[in-house]
Amino acid sequence: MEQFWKLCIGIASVVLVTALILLVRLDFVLANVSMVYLLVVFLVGLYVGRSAAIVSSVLSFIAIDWFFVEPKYTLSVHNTSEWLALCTFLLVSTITGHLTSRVKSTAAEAKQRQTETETLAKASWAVSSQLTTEEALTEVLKQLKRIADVEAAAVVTFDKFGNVVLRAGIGAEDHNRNKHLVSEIKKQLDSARLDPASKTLWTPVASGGEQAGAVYIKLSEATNETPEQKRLIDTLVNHAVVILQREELMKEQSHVQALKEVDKLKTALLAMISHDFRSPLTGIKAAVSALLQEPNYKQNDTADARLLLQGIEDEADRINRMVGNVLNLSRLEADAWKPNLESSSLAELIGSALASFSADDNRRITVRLPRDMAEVMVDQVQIEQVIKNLVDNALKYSDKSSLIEITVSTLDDELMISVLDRGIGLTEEDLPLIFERFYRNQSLKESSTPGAGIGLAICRSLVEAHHGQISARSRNGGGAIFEIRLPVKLKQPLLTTVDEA
Amino acid sequence: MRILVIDDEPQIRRALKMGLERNDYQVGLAGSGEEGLDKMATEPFDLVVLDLAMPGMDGFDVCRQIRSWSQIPILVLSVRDSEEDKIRALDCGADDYLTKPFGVGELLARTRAIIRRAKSSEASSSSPIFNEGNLQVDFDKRIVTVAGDTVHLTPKEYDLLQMMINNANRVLTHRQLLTKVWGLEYAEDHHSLRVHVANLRNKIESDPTRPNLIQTETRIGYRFVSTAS
Repeated sequence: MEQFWKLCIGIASVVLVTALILLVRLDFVLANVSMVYLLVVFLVGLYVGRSAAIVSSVLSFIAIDWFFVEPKYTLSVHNTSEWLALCTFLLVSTITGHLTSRVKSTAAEAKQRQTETETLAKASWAVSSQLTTEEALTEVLKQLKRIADVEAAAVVTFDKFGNVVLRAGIGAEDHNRNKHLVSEIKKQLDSARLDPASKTLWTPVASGGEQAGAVYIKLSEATNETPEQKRLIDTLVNHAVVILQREELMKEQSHVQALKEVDKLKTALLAMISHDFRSPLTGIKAAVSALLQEPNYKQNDTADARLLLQGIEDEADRINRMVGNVLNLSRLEADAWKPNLESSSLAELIGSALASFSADDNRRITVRLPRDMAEVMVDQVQIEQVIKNLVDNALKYSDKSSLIEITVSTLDDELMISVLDRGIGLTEEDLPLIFERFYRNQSLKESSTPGAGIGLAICRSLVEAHHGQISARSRNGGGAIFEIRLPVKLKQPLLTTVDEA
Repeated sequence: MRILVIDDEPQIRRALKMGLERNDYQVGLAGSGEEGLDKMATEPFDLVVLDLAMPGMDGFDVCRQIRSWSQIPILVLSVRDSEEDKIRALDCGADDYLTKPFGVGELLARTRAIIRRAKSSEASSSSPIFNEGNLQVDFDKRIVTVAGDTVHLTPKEYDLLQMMINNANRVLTHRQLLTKVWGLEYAEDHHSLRVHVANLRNKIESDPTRPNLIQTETRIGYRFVSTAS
């Protein structure tokens, strides 16, 4: 339809010019006439289009031949030179028409490209700048409106109850239209499928496997988008999606950050409590133990007071042990053990660990070490602690007359320390949980055996800090076996030295 | 016997004063490192009990300052899990340490051990024979016997044993043992020290896996435990 009117304009302008020339009698010089027609073709090419320009150039050619070339009012030409001039005119006018219209369409294309670039630049700026999500989304929708005939557009997210939250919208400027838009979107959400005929675009935004939001665009029914426009719309929708995803990521990140902060605070608090508790404890313990000092004590105090004082001292010791546990626990939580690896003699570490047990206990413990064992790289304090905890457990859960064995063996690059007892052993349900924090066997919880279920958990985190493994199993014939495997680079062997004298 | 307690916590000062006085020690108190040094300059003392963690001039500084002009025994007080601090304090010249919180009983035991050592080192030339359980060391003849049997020690093992006995009941850091017995250039050769201590234990301990005489102070050093006076 449009094309038809363009052709009509082309034809009409030639007719008009012909009439004008005939009217003002400009036809005395053929060259002038040609120039005027050429001008017409040029103008038609510039303002109307290529096909109109070609039609008007052909029509001009016929008009010149008919009205101004001898013999007039025929299409025949006598003079060869005039024939040549006419043909030249046709050629030149066609080319002129073609060129001008091409210049025009190039200009239009350039303008289109400029708009596109501008749109994308603004949208990208909205994504990358520090705008709030709402501002950035509004900017993207504004660009969308600029390049396409948008009836309504909106970006929505869903809150934790699944409600639609309008984050930015076009066609939602007042309350009523806003409500209408949201209800449209809800309808869209419920139908879950797009009518292919409708001019609605629905782009869901996923985050962490869940639908976090959507971009909704309703284009006006009347227009058809060019492929370029469609491409641009897609790009802008993608921009909106990116903005929403960025927001989701930031939420997640700040959540992780917050968790970290809480963890740090907790650790700091625990460490502080444990540390600060020790000062008053030192005061209490020193005061009470001073009061209890023989021999002056007996002179002015009664036996009852002595009992009470003993109670205070015992309780202070107990709080001190608890503080130690809390301190260990706070480290357990925070992965704060960093082994200070030093070349160490395992024999010496075990000897030192056993020195903290009474002579009676020590009589029950046998140690088997390989002869001339090489030194190993471990944190001495930590591994000593692990051995102490395991031996302490073995003593606690076994009969006073039974034996406890500690054996050490080395494989290629692995060190194995085992603690074996003939105690109450482990139940099936113990095995997977025994190294968990606060885990205690049900029957033990009710028994009088003290413990909080921290010792083995500390063992595990210490061994794991050494990149080792700790395991427990039942022993044939009753009792339990605890095994520590540590990956170690063996150092120079602990050989009996040659006398250096 | 006069003891100077330097600690910034008034509660601890008061309790230690009472506990020590009940055991017939005379006690001087100082609430800071500076005050402690002032007291030492004006009054005579036989032992200093020194807290390591104090605001202002800390225990290490005080320890170094005292050592620059006095060989008075120093017992430092430190918190748990701070081997580095203990090593530093001992290398600064402290004689022993106690871990907070501690009882006055432990403090008195350490105090007696330190004072006994201080006395015996003054009179060391008079008793050339050392006895501890089955172990006998004749310093004049350089002969070591265990349950009556002569034990052959290498010169380094003997030097090590002698140094430990001379500092009985006192923690000697790896560094102190290595520099005294081997020389300054061997200060970090912990491995050699462990090898020699292991060999020494095999020769003089009844159960080398559970040493009674040469006790390990993990990461810090060794302590020769003696009940002989």
